[in-house]
Amino acid sequence: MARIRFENITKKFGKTVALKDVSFDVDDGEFFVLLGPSGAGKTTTLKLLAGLYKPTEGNIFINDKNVSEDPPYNRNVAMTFESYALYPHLTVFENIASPLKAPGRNIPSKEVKERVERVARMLKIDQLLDRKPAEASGGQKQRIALARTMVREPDIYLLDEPLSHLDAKIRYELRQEFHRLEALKGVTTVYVTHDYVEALSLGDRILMLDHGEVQQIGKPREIYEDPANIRVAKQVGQPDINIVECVTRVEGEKIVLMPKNEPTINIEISDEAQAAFRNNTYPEVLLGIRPQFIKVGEIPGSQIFDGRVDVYQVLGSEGVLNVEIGDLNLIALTSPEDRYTHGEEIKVYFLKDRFYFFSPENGERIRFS
Amino acid sequence: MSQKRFSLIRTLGIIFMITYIVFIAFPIYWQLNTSFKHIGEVRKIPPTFFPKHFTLSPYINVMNNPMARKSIYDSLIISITTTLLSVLIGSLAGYAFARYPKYAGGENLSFWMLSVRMFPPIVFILPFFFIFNNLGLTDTYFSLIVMYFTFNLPLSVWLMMMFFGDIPRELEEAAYVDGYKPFRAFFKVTLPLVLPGMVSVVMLCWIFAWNEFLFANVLVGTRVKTFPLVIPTFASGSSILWNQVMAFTVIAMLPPIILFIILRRYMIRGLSLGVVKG
Repeated sequence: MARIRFENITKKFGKTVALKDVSFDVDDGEFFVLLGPSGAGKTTTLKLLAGLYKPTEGNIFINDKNVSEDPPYNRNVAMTFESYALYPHLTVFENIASPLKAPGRNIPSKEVKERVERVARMLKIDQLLDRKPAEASGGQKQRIALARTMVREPDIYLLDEPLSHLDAKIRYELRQEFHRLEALKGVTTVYVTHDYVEALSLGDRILMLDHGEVQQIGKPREIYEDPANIRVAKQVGQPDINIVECVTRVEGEKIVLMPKNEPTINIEISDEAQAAFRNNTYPEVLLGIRPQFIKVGEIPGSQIFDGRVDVYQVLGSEGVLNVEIGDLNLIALTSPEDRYTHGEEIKVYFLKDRFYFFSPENGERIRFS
Repeated sequence: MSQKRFSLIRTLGIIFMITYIVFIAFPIYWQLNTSFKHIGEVRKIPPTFFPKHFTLSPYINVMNNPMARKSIYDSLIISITTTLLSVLIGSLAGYAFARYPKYAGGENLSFWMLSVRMFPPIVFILPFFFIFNNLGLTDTYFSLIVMYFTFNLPLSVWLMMMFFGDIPRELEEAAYVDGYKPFRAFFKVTLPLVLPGMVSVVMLCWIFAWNEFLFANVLVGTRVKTFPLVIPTFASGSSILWNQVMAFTVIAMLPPIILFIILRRYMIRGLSLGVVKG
């Protein structure tokens, strides 16, 4: 049971700045996900929490106690490493039992055996206990590493990309297992991933990290539906969000967006957005449209564009359509039943209420209210 | 590749291996063969490939020679001390270079250490002789131990640095998170993984110290005498007692062989651990 507070943490390695003024709180029992591309500083954050690194500036609190200078063996935290970090010379049993046998814990060996076997059964690796980690498959190694973390009943679980090295099917299964694992439910967990699906699926809250800076902290739906900036919008969502560089222009009574590399078309925007752009506050904007908000066909009342099919892929439960509008190449999601051929002329419309606008200078979201 | 050509290459390979093994093994066979002969049979031409009159007398003569007996004892003291020192200090320094290069002096210092090995050892002989002589240290265990240690340490540091460098840091970090302090984590995780490498360093240091002749010939020789210095004493003005030389070298080969048999277990474990990595 633990609350975590990260207070203005900066971490430098020599001249490289890994984390820049990062602050966040994690509530007791919360499942907190750190999301970001590789090199964002996620693992650094985790190792700071574990005590493997010391912050260059700022303080870390666990349960209101400043632990910034405490070594890992004095913090009751358990961590799985992205590399698993299983001890190759010890059996799976000895690997899992390692935290229980640490000096000062004084757990009788009968209890060690019981606890190891219990956690091994829960993670379905009890048949491997006598083997060496090298004899286990990738998914099994992952679960051994997880078992070593969960056998302990720590204050905090730190999980570093626990599913990233597994193939898609096992990843899906283990993700479901994470939901079911009672052990994880009551305990504060910080979970690192670069996969937004994992983050959305597992997180009570998500911290989106990039270039060592906090981009956004929020509930999964907030991160997805209300991204704070273009980096968050790009990281979350598959296929990637469409970004169109535009110039704002007055067209009669209305304000429209003219794509920079396709000046022949004007994209109409919602009345709310028009009000915001009226006084030429933003001569240029980046327009973000998620693929599911680009539709094929025509409905009355919406602006219709003439498009041409570039590439069409049917991926089982959805179709991914690259459509060209003049020189604009946009990605749209379609129903998997639809069939398009290369070069086919189609009509396309956008759901303009779902547009995102970002500032071209700093990528921050432009909001209206 | 056709089956025929493949088997031709295979046959050539086997022939090469057999030649190689004979090349390596023949001197040892000849050594054993000679050590069980009377001196008369040794000088016979053509030579006999198996002792006609099998005898243990060369061994008995050597064992009754007090100088020969003491030399083995002296060699053991010097080699054991040198090896222990080299491996212990080499491991500590190697760990520091591998894990904390910035604090340990970095590449410059580790490379400078290696440069000691780049000089031919004979360059150092006279200066060292005068230094030890002026300090009254010639003809002591200490002088040879210091000498051998000086030459073994760079190799030991470099090899240990590489072996430690091969062990992912995260294994140690995992042990810290498990609740082990750095010293305990070292013995739980790092040392067992580096042990096979350490064993090979032990063997290398031992072999260097055990067989060394040049420094021993200059720095010691009266009160302290290592076994390579005794071998020439079997050659008297008119004749060389080849059977006793061979018997003595067979005895001198035993400590390294016993050491290797004891340590072999760890070397084999090292080979299988290599598979685990990655």
